[in-house]
Amino acid sequence: MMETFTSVNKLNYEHTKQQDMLVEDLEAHDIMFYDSLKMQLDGLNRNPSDETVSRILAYSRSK
Amino acid sequence: MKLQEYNDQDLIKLYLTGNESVLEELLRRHKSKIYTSIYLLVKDQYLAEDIFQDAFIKVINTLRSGRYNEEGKFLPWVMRIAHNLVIDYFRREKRAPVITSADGTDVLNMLQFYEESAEDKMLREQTHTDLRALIQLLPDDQKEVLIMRHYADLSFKEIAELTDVSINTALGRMRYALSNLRKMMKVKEIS
Repeated sequence: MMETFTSVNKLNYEHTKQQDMLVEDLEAHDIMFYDSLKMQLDGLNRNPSDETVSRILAYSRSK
Repeated sequence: MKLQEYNDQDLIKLYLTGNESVLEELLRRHKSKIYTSIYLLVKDQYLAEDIFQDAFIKVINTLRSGRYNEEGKFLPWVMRIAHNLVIDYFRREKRAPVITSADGTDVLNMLQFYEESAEDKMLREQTHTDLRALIQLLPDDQKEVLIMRHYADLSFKEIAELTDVSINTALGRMRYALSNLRKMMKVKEIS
């Protein structure tokens, strides 16, 4: 008797691939609205202070 | 090859060989996404700086101890650390001692301190004019997804893993966030 099996990895990959396709599925009007907002949202970007960055780098050098 | 040409995983390998300038490059690439995400969640610049610093101290300690999982991507990993620190902060705030008035009544009970729906907040705050204020009016779970999607550039799959929900839930929260923002902006235009 021949033994047959389905590769689990292949199954999982297809399932994950489908999920990945589904997850980015915002509706068209949502995508359009989000696109219209992006520049304003980008305007809210902030950076940590130079002092904080320096402290992090100093900590790394001390380890 | 310049550091800017390396991907994150290769930069980490270089960092572990003792190249300190790698950390500077990783910070240059990702500091804005991570800091902005933290700041919009905690709404306080100084607190955000502390959490950002603590997150990177954990990053450094984990990398140096050899516990970094090379399968994971760097930015979602750091965002998970930062997100957990934000959650820890909010938990500590909830456990803050109760302040009572002279008759023993919890002072906080006297404040209008209840869970508002997005619609209630919208009606109460019709004078808000900037987008940042509108984002802060979103329910926390919707705000969180919007921030992580836009500012941390995480996929819905990564957001779902980070917030321990299904992908569909993460996606649904994003839809609601956009829908609520749209409604609030319409109300703002009318008023």
